Amino acid sequence: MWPQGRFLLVLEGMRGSANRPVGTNLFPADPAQRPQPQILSAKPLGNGSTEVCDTGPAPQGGGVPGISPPDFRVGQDVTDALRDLMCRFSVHSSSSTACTLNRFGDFGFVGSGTQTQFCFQVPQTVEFPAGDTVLAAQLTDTAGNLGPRKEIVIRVLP
Amino acid sequence: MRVLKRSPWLTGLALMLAFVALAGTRARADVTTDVAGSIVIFPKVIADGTRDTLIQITNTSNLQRTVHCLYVNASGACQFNPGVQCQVASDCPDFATANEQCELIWLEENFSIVLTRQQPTIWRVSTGRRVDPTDPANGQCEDIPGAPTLQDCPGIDPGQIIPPVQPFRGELKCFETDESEAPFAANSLKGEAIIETLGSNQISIYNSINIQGTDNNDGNLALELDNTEYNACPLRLEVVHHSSGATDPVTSNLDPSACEGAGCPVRTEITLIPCTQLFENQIGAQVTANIFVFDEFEFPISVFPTVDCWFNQDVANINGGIAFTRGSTFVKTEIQSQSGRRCIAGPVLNQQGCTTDADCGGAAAGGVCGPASGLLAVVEEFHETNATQGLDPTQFFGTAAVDVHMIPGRRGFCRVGGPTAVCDEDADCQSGGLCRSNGVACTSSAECVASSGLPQDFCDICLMDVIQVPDLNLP
Repeated sequence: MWPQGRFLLVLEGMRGSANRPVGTNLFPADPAQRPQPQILSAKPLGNGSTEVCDTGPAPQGGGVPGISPPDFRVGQDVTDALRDLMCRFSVHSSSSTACTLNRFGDFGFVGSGTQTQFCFQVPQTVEFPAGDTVLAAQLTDTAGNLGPRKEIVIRVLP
Repeated sequence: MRVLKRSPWLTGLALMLAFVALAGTRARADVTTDVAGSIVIFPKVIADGTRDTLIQITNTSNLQRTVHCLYVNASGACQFNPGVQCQVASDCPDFATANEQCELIWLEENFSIVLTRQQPTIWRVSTGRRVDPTDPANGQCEDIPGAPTLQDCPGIDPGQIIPPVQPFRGELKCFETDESEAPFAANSLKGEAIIETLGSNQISIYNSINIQGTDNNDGNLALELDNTEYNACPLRLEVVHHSSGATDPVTSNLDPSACEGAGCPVRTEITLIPCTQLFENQIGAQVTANIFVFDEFEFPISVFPTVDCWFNQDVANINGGIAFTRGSTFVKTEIQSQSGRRCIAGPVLNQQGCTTDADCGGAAAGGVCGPASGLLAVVEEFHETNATQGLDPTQFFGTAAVDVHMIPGRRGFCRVGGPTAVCDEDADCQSGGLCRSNGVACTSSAECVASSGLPQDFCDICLMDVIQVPDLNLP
């Protein structure tokens, strides 16, 4: 639960059984290609603008469309939503440069086995709506192998 | 022998998804000069042709940060001699003969910068900093041929930093915003100001005053310093400095001949700014500062100057002067804003002794009876010798700036609940609050912005200090 729709959104991953590093391409040059870390929101964020990677202050900056259910199905609308959200993230590849703090107040990954972290400071233009929003996430490694799909529910108090 | 068949679609990349508070903690009463904050304040910034200031701001986080800054120009010009800068009427040449007044301005100019992870940046106030992707990685800031008011500095330019209108004497205030330029608190900014005396080798350095924010930032343009959105201003400021005109014991010890005759007096300037500032209406809070000075013999002196927007005075001149006759070299100075209430907004702004909003024009008209603004300060000392006295006033033997100690514990009044309802934070006021602009009952600032349509409107619950910033529609 959260009293407002702005917070720090963090995605962390580690090598899978293929022993390949976590893919870190957030915004492939080809518009038909999906980013390697992937997050979908079931509800529109901010104004839900369909323009891809419209970052910055309004009116140029806009939100991210929702995909319900957030199932990563084939389709350019899903690809666009993924690219629109993931282009706003930053990559943190060592614990000392993590965007989060550990319990001692030092920079550190949240998970003990984390090898790569992706962070997004959610701004007002991408504000989460009041109520429950389901986020689904999955990672691919550098060879394109897909990891497990995970979900989180963000509850913003009205 | 066992063969492991590996499916490329079942590689089992481990994954964790989480959301994290922005500020991480809900610190209280932490206005500091040595811990990063979400609002950084440089109370004394000079670029008046005699002195100039270098500003350093650093992002201490591992995320890119957007920062919005406001120069607040508080220069004064004499009424009959507009070319003469002043701070008080007595600075003007015709004050004694013609009651010449010092006409102060209070004008803000704003700009935004973007700092990459852990990035420090620097600029000179008089010249600002131009965006030039071809800047070298090292070197020094350099003038630009054909554009004398701008400089190129090495490193990643944080954005176009405008030089303020000059002569500039005032403050610089910066606060964190998200990428959509809505204020928020990640407590990742720190800064230093270097005031240089042009044509000499004298500099004074002080740390920025950093106000930490909490996780309750609503993103509107009223930065409430109420221990709920941002931490409250200090209750009291304390600093130890040379008493006015005292002989510098270090210089006289190093070289007694330098102090023979006229001596090696030390002059102390105190700069005060109010915590409450209503930029949207171009109003800086007026407050009476209670200044108590104690010498080494426990002898006290008190003065009560009025602080209007920006106060920068030699202690020898504050309300007739703080001077000790017992030979004390050092004194301890305590500074606190006046107790009691005054009209802090509305039609009868700054009237003292109010008890209700009605005394200030009524809540519906924006009248608010609340605590006088808190104060922030920096102190600068000027050391002279026989050789420097009576010469060019810029030729000091040495200058030094001092950050003051900030004592927490400032309390506010509940906007609803009568004149005796004191509070430390919004949660102490169970009856909710009133919208600042129109007195409508509220529990959150979002309700006030929605009802009034004013992006700077907010819900006054525990009345303390507020910085209302102008619309961030940048050029």
